[in-house]
Amino acid sequence: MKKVTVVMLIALLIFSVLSVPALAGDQGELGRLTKLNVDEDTLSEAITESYFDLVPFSRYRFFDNLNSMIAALASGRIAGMALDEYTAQYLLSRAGEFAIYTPDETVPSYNLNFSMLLREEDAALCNRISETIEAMKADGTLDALKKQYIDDVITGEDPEAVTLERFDGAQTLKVAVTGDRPPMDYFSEAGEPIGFNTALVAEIGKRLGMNVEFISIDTGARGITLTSGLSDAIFWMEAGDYGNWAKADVEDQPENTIVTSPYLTGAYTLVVPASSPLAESNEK
Amino acid sequence: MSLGEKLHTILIKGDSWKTILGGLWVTIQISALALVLGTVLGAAICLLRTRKNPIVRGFASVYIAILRGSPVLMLLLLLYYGVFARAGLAPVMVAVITFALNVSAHVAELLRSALEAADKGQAEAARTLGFSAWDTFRLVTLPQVLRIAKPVYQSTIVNLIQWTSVVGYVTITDLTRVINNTASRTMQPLLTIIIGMLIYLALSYIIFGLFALSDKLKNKARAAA
Repeated sequence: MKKVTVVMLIALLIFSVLSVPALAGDQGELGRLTKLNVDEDTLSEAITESYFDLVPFSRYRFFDNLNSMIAALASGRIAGMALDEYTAQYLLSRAGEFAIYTPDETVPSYNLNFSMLLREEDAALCNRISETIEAMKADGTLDALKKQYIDDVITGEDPEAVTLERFDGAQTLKVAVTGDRPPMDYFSEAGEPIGFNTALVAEIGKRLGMNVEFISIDTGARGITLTSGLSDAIFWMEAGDYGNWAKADVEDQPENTIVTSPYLTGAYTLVVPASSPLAESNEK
Repeated sequence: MSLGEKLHTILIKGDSWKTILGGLWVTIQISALALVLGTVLGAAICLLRTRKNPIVRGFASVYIAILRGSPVLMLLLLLYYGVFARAGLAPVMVAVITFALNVSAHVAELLRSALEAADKGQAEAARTLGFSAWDTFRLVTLPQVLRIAKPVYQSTIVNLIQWTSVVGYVTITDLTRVINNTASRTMQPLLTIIIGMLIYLALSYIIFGLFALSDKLKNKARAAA
């Protein structure tokens, strides 16, 4: 028994020593929020030639939520993080220790399309939501919401609470909110969902004559809320201007799901610590 | 932003402390209910585990093995999105059931270990003196079992409180979820998480304190007797 214990302890020690390189990680990594259907190795490999060979980052490192990614950047575990421009600006306005890194023109850039993801069987609802989004674009409502819930919030104003209209006997549109992406989707001090996305859905619900119910869920579980039927829709972000990114990003959309028209577009933005040399440079 | 300003933004601005306390209350409720249910169920499973009937004993062994060997988050997801998906049970109730099942397996095992460690000679002596089986268990075996099991049970309670931090996956806004939401809103994840950890630590040390107090009172009563 003693010999077995000693052998096991030696094996454990060897394993620990051999694991150190893997556990140490690569601190030139670029943080990104976990994508549902593609892992960081596959995505990093897919865009190595077109992207990582041109920027001072080695590969992606996925994080399940924004908080852990910010903590990783602040602690030096990653060299930068990729966000949409609105969340990036919100971060800079609330936490002064970060800055935006703008690579030079040789590096491909792309825009992110914000939309909603629904189950395939709800195609009719998806179409109604898409039509409503287009109508809101046309009559200026989306621009007004953007100014109130994104632009003004980034400059430090507190957004108004989102009011939901109630329709007796109407169908309920259940939307999962994670609180993980201010100013798009977050929670007020009172614990109420606020942000551009919630204001958008409230307006969509009003125009469709549907009651809206927000379901608070951890970021890691938003996919399962949709597939299990707990929610009818979740917020979704995907790359526009595909080019070399197409294969990697399109593969992220889960099977049996459909996407609405995009309601907003934002630039793919890189954030680095304010003390990073990249913050003062636009070149590799 | 100075530390004071950050703390103000996290804890005071907009009465966010009320929301944090609300999340803490949810954590306490789920933990307390799961503990009570889990302890009662665990005692019952322990009883089955010590029966002579091999089928009954086998069932209890499998029950304990599965629940102790499964990550509690997986169990919670399975029950919420699978087993009870169409049962109409509130998320909090599913969470209580999940943690009660998990706790019951741990309690069953710690009670069984404590039973084995109790002095059988004393029980035999009590029976020889004419005590009934129930009186022997109640007056001789049980006090020893409780004394032996107490430290491990205390750890089980503290672990339970920490396990409840995953209920955000099933739409429940507990302390951890509120802390995460606050960190996202204020963009101060590290400081907010430290505050959250301190609250959990305080809760754990209240549990330790209660057990220490009960020991103190018991010793006092024994000395007085």
